[in-house]
Amino acid sequence: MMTPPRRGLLSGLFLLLIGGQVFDVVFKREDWPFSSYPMYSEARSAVVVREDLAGVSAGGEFPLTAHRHFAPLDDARFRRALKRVAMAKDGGIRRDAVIETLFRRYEALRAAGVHDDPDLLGVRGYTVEWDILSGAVNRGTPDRRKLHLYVYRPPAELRSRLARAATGELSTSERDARRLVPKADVVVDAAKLSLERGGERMTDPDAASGFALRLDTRPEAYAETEINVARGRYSVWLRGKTAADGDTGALSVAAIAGAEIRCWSSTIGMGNWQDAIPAGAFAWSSSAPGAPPCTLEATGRPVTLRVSPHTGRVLLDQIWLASEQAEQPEFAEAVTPAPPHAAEASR
Amino acid sequence: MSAAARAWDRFWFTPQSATDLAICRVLFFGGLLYQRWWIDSGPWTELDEAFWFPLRIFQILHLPLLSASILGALDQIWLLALAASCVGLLTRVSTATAFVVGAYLIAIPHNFGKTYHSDAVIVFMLGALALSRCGDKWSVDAWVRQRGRSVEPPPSGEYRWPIRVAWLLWVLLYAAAGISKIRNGGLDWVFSDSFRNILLAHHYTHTPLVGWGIVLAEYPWVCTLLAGGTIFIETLTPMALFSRYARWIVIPSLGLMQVGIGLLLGVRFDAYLLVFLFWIPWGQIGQRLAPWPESERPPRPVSTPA
Repeated sequence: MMTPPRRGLLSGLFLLLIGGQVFDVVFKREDWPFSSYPMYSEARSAVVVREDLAGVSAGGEFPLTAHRHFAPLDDARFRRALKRVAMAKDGGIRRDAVIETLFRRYEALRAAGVHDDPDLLGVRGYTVEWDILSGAVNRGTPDRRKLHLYVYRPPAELRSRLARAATGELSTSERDARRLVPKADVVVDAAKLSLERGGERMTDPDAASGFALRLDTRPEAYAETEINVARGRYSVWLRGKTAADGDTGALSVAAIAGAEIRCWSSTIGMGNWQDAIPAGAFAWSSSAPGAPPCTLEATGRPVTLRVSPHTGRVLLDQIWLASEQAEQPEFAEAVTPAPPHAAEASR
Repeated sequence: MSAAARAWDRFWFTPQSATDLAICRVLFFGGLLYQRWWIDSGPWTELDEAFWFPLRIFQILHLPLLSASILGALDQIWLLALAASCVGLLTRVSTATAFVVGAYLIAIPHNFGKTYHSDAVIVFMLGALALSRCGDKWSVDAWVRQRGRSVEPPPSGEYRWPIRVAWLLWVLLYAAAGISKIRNGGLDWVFSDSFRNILLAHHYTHTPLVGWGIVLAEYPWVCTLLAGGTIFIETLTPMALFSRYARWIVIPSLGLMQVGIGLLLGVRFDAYLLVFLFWIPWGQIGQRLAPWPESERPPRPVSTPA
């Protein structure tokens, strides 16, 4: 036999349950474990949006799934966490911590045998869209694909070098070291660009020629050069750095004649070393460390390259038009095209 | 006592046989044990605190994310509590443990950036069973208490209200989903291409078990019928609490709808099935299927219409 107090207590709990649920429904709230259960409640448009993840390795991109590569996170929590972190006031600090966590989970799950994918240099998130067609016949071929997220962490060896470069601890041999790149590549020392308006050549022992270019922040400032580039497509890499005093910034690089430069983003400029590279250390970047590189489509005629300030001030050392390097370089040294006989021999 | 209070009392506390609740206890805890057998809460602690976006209830109660070793121990304690609750061993203690530890463990993932809706009903149900006398029949406790003899506990409201809580949870869930569709999607949810797009969209983003959604999407009138039927059934769900006729229509329809969502969209809500079990009149089914003649059958469970 149930006593009246027990009935009263239970009735109170039932009312609490009903009240909590009704409250969330009326005010469209989510107070877990109460909910207004809004899933699938919006009228669905004829456009499907899916967010894909891609890992970046030295060999290029490969598909990632959060629940396999970053468990216990799943895809939704992975995206939501990164978005919320990006919006947080201390987003910069949190972003670094998030990136460190992601790489740690990736390695831990690889060590546990959950996956056997290659060393991870970065993660990219793409928004993939389809216009829905009858029979979903186009599901294998998205109508639009746009990068909306990228994170990058230099490999350990490079991180070590960058840290030493940032504190001026590089040895002379490290400073003088050059990476040979294919002879078809084009390398321009920024110090040799003609300074048209506002800027200076700064002495810098870590720069390829001993001098680096620093443009004024005035929008009319720019430096130019004309170069011969064989017809073809090149990835555009900039060797630059943010100043040791923490100045941040990006450059704009445009082909005034003879070519067209395309970037995945028209707003962030090029460089953006501060996203992943310590201030004061020269490193390679295209639009930003870890982001897909900007490409230059050369027609075969002489190309006029113009460099102008985008945001803040940075030091530019080299511009490298790479015929083969389509992903973030795993080194920070200056580059020089291989002499013809060396390139022949390497084939 | 007013008529409303009497109706309330009748709805929740009319004496009922312990059979249905005992069967539901075994199936619910057994099913939950099966679903959560591989639980491993430890890795959540390996995420940076930047991922930690605590639920409001965690903020109010100042609940922290415990260390990996403690979470690992809690995982094991919870599984043990679920197993003990399933067989009815120290039922009051084991169900209370299953609720307290389970609510915390189930909530943890929801603190990491996204709240899912699939397991909240489980938390409420664990709470209800922790307060119930679900171990009075077909349990180790009952067997020990009766020293091996089979003694039928007398009908009581104690065996009815936990089942009614499950009904209420189910009804609140689907009614809320139906109301959300009306408020957010409106008539467009039924009369536009919305439902067709839902059927097709999942073939771009998920891996449905069957390709029937693509076929159904070719028939606009079928899509309109299914969309209208979905909202109609969901918003009518509360009637199932009070009318046995509505119950026979609404509850199987919702069950079929859930199966359809799993097959056509590739989205599964397995946790809901555990609460669905409480709608089934196990005692009555047992009576009908029992092999012995009417005269030798055990007493029918007392079941009073709501």
